[in-house]
Amino acid sequence: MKRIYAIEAWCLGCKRCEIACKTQHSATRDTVKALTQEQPSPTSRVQVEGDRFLSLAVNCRHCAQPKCVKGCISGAMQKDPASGLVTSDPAKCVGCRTCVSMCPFGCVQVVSVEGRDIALKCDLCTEDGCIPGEPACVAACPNGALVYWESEE
Amino acid sequence: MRADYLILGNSAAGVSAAEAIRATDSCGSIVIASPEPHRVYGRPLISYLLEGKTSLERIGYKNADFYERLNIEPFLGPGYDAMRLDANAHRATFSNGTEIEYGRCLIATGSIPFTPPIEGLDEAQNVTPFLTLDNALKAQELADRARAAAHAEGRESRAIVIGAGLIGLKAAEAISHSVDRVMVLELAPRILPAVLDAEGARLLQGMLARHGIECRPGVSAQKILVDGGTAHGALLTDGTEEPCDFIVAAVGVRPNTAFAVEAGATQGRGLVCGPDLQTSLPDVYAAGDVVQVRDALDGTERPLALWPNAVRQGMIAGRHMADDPLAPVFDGSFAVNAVDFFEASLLTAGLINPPDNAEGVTCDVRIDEAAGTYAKFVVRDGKLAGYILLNRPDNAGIYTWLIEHETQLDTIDPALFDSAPLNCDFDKTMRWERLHAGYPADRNEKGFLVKRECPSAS
Amino acid sequence: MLDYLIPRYKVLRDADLCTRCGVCERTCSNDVHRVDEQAGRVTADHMKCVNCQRCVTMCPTHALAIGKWPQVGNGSSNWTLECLQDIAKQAQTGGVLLASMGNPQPHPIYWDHLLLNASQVTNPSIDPLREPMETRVFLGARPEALKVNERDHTVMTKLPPQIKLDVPVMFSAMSFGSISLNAQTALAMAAQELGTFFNTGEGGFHHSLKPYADNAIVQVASGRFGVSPEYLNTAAAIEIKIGQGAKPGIGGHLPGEKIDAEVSRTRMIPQGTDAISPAPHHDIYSIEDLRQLIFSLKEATRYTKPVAVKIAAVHNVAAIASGSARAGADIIVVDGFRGGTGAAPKRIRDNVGIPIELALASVDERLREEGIRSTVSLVAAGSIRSSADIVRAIALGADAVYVASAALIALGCHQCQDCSSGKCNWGIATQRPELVKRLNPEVGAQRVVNLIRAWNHEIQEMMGGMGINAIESLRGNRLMLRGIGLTDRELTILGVKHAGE
Repeated sequence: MKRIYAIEAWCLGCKRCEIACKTQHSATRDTVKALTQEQPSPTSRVQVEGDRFLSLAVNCRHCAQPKCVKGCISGAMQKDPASGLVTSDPAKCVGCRTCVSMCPFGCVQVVSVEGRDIALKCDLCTEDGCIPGEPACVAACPNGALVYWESEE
Repeated sequence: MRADYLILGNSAAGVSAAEAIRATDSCGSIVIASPEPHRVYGRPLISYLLEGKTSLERIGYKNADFYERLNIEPFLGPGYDAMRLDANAHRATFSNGTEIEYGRCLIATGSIPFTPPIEGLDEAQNVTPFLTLDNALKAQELADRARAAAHAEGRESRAIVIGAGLIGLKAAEAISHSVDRVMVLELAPRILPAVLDAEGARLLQGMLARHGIECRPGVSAQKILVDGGTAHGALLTDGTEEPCDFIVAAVGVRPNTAFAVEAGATQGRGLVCGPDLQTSLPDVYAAGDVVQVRDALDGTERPLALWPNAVRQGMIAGRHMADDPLAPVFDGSFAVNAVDFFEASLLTAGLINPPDNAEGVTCDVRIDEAAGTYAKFVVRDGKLAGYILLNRPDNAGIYTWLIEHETQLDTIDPALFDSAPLNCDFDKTMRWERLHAGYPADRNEKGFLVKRECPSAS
Repeated sequence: MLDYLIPRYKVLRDADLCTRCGVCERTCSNDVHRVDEQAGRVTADHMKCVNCQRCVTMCPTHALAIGKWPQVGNGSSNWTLECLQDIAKQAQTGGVLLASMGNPQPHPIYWDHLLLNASQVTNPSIDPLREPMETRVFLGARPEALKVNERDHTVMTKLPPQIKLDVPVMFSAMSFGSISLNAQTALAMAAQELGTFFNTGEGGFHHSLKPYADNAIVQVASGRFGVSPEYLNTAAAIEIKIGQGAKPGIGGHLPGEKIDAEVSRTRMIPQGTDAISPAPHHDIYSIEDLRQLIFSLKEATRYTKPVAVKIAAVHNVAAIASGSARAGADIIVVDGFRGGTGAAPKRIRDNVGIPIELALASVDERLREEGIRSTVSLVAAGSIRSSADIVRAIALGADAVYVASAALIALGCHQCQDCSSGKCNWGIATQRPELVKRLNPEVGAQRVVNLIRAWNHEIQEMMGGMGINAIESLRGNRLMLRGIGLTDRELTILGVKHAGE
């Protein structure tokens, strides 16, 4: 499958990826409204770690053997056998955070949405199960620090 | 009748095994049999169901078409309790008399409640364990009835939960929304004795108290006061009497393996299995709560009654049952628990209560009373061996990874323990290796095609 | 002491669009922006803004623009605000004013007064999409006559070494030190992909660029930094830098703090010492001395590589070019006064030198008069802004052009002219690791390649329009040019007729 990889040599820590992710996963898909008005405020599924000297943007690896899926007690976290995509179904999630305790990369955020804790994670910007050309974070990166390439597993 | 694969048990281990079998063997017949009449559901979700965080529609662990899509024949209902196993004849007999001959059989029957020798406990109809969906529905019914009756009498409704383990406390949390006062009894000197230490237990107990749940560690019931088949109170081990409207008994569980042991399967604290999860009986495999697991951290052998472990074992056992040549071996595991109580989250893993003065073991404890967080890291021989994280869940899986990979901590930024751990706390090489599984071989760490590599552009 | 300086720019932030995301704060190396969570807004220190437009480009909601500081002058065209501020700055510091990039003064840009021809009916135009269109150029000395063995179809004359350009554009000298290694690497990658050449400048040849050595021109300048037999032999050609269009008559000075381990190794000078390139070559005081250096370099490379001489466009440029050709230069590079620099004294940049258009025309004319134009190659440099400028330069007599500013603009440069601060937000004119990494050479190379490919398409279109199918046929073909709005004197120097003639 195609995966997003972080090339830390080129990461500036500008966090444009986070903003693009929030916009993509907002109700209005409008950056201004998403960041200033929407409640709940949209959550970025990509996390930029570090400072201006060393930084990297960390995304769900969509692991071949995803521990979050094995750990999930509700069946919300699933890996699609065809596309390889690992997704969290907000309707089923109960916010127990087993996935948080299992993910080796810190790529699941549990946030309160409409009074319920649910796990949110990178969905490679899929809509209706189909993967578009380029995830929003990759498109927003000014310096090739996030790439979307066919992986070898 | 006959099935190529007979799976006893319709929960995490059973359905995971069925999926794994089907991934390898597309046409062998699979039967899943369970005395529970429901299609597979997230068993730990029963407390969330009572809290309204999920519903009977959403509690399903797999999509509605799961059995049909994987061509699995589900035999679900009270008659499908496995009673007898004849390993030589490859035959299982169920409580309704049905006999099924199998090619290979998986025992994934999970746990059954352990009934403590408390006088009167088995006499009352308003006592329930808290292990199955039906148990939960009954607990809800008891709670609703207790509230109605108590409020009609102008008093508070009261429930007693016996056992302050994970199941007992989740049950207490669940019924606390319907019952005015919940008392939790625990024989051990602290709540969650298996997954928490003394300090963490103290903090959590205080938090539960603020939600109307009174925990009484060090105290259990010595006698249930039953009147006309109804429990109305308990005589506690400290000699006092505590009235109640109903009781949830959550003292403990034991592997549901009587029929297998009778058939000759070797049992320690659970079924003894090889690395392929085959029991001592030919063509009989086991997965989930029934299996005796070697704890990768302390070397003890005991069942690891946790959902992720059941899923993993089910996947491994299923692949071996279907003769997948690439099937991995099961080489032990360690406990990782994630549980939430009201607004608090509790994550624990591995070794959390090392014996006092154990050699090479240090505990790094960080308490922030203001933030309501408590973190404890157990380090053994320079490697992380366990953690407790109360209200500090972020990125905890990175700690779990350190335990699993027995990573020497001197290669890692010690800031990792100050707050949520980060990928950039690892050194450059490890950081790259962790995050770049499947990275294209023709690209270097700068993303350049290797043929155009510039070795060290500053 | 109160500083009498006022800001040059004003950060204009659209409050309706600003989301306080902080991208501007994180991307500004001059610390202009600050997200003030307490006040619930983003503030700006306008004084620090250099108008590099990094934040404008990076802002996810396009909430930013940089405006002129609204302060007006007193209306005098003599005592302009800029003039006042320059004086204030020097009164404050007592120092020479430093500036970067090329001459910004509003002198005539002759390119814009030269119109191109197109064919109608006779000598019909050519469609470059359907017919071959040659943009290949060879640079180097040429023999006065070519002896050919007709029977064997072989060339009898021994040909001097030449370099082959697939496009008539090269990247001019920019040293590692003045620009980042990532910037230089991007140009090297682009040169390789385009089949042309980049120039190391006087900064040595960084070992990581070895894979691009066949597309490198190495420079020998007055400081002789990084020069060794290996350096000379590794590249495709050698360039002796006598002068630079942005600062003729001036040497260079790379302050010690920019000489880090890598720059030190590449320049072969101690770390932390100032790298001073003297104004003259201390061994060149005559054309004869220049000839000695040219032939020393040819000896060192066993006459396998062409040697170029780069001179700044100054008043007697034609005579100097002629002398250089006679001294043995295979390629003569003329650099006009709008050519860029990483740092130059402002008064030099703004007041010394002449435009490349006039210099090029007079050099070409002089070499033709002396009958030696055909023995050397001529390269024009100093603010080539578009493919049309290239076509004009070639029609005025150049074999090819050098571009630098345009290539840097493709890499992100916004011509803020603050290179000398070393805080280039685009990762180009800086050695700070956290800024250098902003320029991913592969991304940069792709942008430069795109630019030059686009230009080459346009050159082919324009040539096709003129009915010319090889760039060689355009060289010195001044009939393809007509002046507009020029005086007779200017037209004479340029050697073109006025439009309508």
